[in-house]
Amino acid sequence: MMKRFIWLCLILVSVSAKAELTIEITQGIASSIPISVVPMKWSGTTELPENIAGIVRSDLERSGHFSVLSPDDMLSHPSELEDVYFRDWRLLKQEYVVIAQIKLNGQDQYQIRYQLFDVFNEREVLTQTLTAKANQLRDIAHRISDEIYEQLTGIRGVFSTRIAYVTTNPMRTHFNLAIADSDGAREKVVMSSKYSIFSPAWSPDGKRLAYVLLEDSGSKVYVQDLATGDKQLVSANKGINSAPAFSPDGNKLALVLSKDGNPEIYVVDLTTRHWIRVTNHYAIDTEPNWMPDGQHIIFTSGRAGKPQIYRVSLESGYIERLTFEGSYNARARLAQDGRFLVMVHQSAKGEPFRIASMDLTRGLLQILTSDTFLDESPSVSPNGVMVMYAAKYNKRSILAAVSVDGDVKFLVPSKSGDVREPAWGPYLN
Amino acid sequence: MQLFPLTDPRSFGLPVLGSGLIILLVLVLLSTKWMNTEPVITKVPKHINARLVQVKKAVPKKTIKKVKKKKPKKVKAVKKPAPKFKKVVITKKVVKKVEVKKTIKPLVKKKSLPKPIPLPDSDLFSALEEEEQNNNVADLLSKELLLKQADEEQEAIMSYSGQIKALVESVWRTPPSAKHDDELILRIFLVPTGEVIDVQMVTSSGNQALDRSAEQAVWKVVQFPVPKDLILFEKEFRQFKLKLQPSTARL
Repeated sequence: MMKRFIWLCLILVSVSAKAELTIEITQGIASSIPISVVPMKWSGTTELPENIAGIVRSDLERSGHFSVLSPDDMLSHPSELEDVYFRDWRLLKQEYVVIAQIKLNGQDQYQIRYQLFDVFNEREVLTQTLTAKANQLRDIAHRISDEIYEQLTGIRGVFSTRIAYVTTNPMRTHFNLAIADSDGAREKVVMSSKYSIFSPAWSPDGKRLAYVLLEDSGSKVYVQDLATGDKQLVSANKGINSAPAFSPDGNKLALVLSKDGNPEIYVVDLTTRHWIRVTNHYAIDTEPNWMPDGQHIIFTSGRAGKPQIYRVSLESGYIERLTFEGSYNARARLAQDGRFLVMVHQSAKGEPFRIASMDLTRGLLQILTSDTFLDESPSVSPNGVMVMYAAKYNKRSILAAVSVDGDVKFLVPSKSGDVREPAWGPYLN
Repeated sequence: MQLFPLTDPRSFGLPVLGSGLIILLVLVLLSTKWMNTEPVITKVPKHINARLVQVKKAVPKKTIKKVKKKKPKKVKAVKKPAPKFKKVVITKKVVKKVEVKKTIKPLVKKKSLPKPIPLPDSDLFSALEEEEQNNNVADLLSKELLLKQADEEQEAIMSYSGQIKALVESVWRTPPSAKHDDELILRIFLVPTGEVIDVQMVTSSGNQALDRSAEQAVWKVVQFPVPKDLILFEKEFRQFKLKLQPSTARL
């Protein structure tokens, strides 16, 4: 009887659900998207100053979210929709195709038109026409990469952003503060000094850089305007002046001063020069970084005996410990609206220093790096996907990048000397 | 003391008889009821089946049963689009028997079957059994058939749904922005060969990249496995909904 009843129930259920069958899919695969960027059709006679399609290809490839088809493996190089045979691209297992044409529009004015097609749905996803001067073609290429990336991943692209870093000659007698495209190209020196430069930090609008200069008289914190080159002294107190960090609104700077004996976190209003002391503990408190809400600061503290990450509320002064795993957690940065903590992590004394991410909502810690040595100074891209950090590799100080999920890794090429202290800049528009 | 004289020991006979009768009646009622409602056949253990076969020697139908059991199954299996579950044995048995009788008759005649060995069972018992069986079979046949059909259909749907699910999951490339609680529903339109002819967005996840990846996944499959039974195809797979949730996504 029971069985009969169950069957009846089953049948009833199936009858009532029969309106329309619904199949539930509960997982997919998270792998790179196959995309083809067809070489651009260029109607001019002279060679183009930049290979735009090539830059887009390497941008997308480097992001780790795409696998890019080499132009040699393409069956055709269309530049118009009517020449795009979706079946061919399906045969090549491509999911998206980008075609483009570029022409000279008057004197030194290039006009680029590109289209992004969805091969399986056989429809256009994106089309844009851009104009640029010869020296802007690289920017245009990064912008195209950004658009494609955002369309297909749902995350804003960071190919147009820039990074700041410090370079040194091998003798360590000369230091440069430089900025470059996120792919390492177009390096530009912002400031040169015979003193050590530390902790560059971007203002949220990307127009200013704060940094520490270790002068003969002691460490000093400066804020420099990138357009004019004007540098403004912010802090030259007795003892340590270090680790500046702009508040999300760009009006305040959090930094570390030891004028009262041991390093403590302070916040200074850049216009009124009003100082607030944030922490007060006999242990070292350092490396402040703002939460996106502008109301909390995370910092490294040795108050539990070993360096760990804490969070302090500026309003109430309430302090909460965030990291418990490992013997050393320091130099924390936030990713993805404060959901992930990225930091230097040592699992136990004697173990190597690694970059790790911690999901603050789930409390999971993941070690991201493994190939490099003495990993330090992590800096998170504004879209929260990549972390750039400094490390020792083949006995040189280099910059490397790893994705917050640990899946993508690459080294950033540097022209010469040692590179340290990367700071990933904000979106520029 | 006062009660004793009132109750004469002789008068006990009546109540005892009465209650005895009642009990008997109840027993009889219960037993008959039981047999009517609960299909005896469903509880017949295998060895009883065998006995029946032999008793009915005279009638070629029954002897064949045994043989049929295996063969007809296969015949049916061809029609059945989905693998069966073994659990259902009890209910199926009844149906099998019935069907065997009807469909396999001609087969029996053609094939000379090994003679069944008569067992020392009582004719009465087997006859009774037989009768009950027939009755029950007649009563239950239609119900059971319906049940079984629905059951088979359900199995087929489950099986094809499972295959479709696995296929889509194997090609669905979720974008990195996908959140584990995102959800979207597509409506898929197929032709009887299983080829996709249209994909419609019913409920968007709000994430364009995720929506597109889901649509692409369906197109990527190109051809879905569908039941060959056209009626079932029309009913369930001509168009159906696909609910996608990237529950393994990191965010």
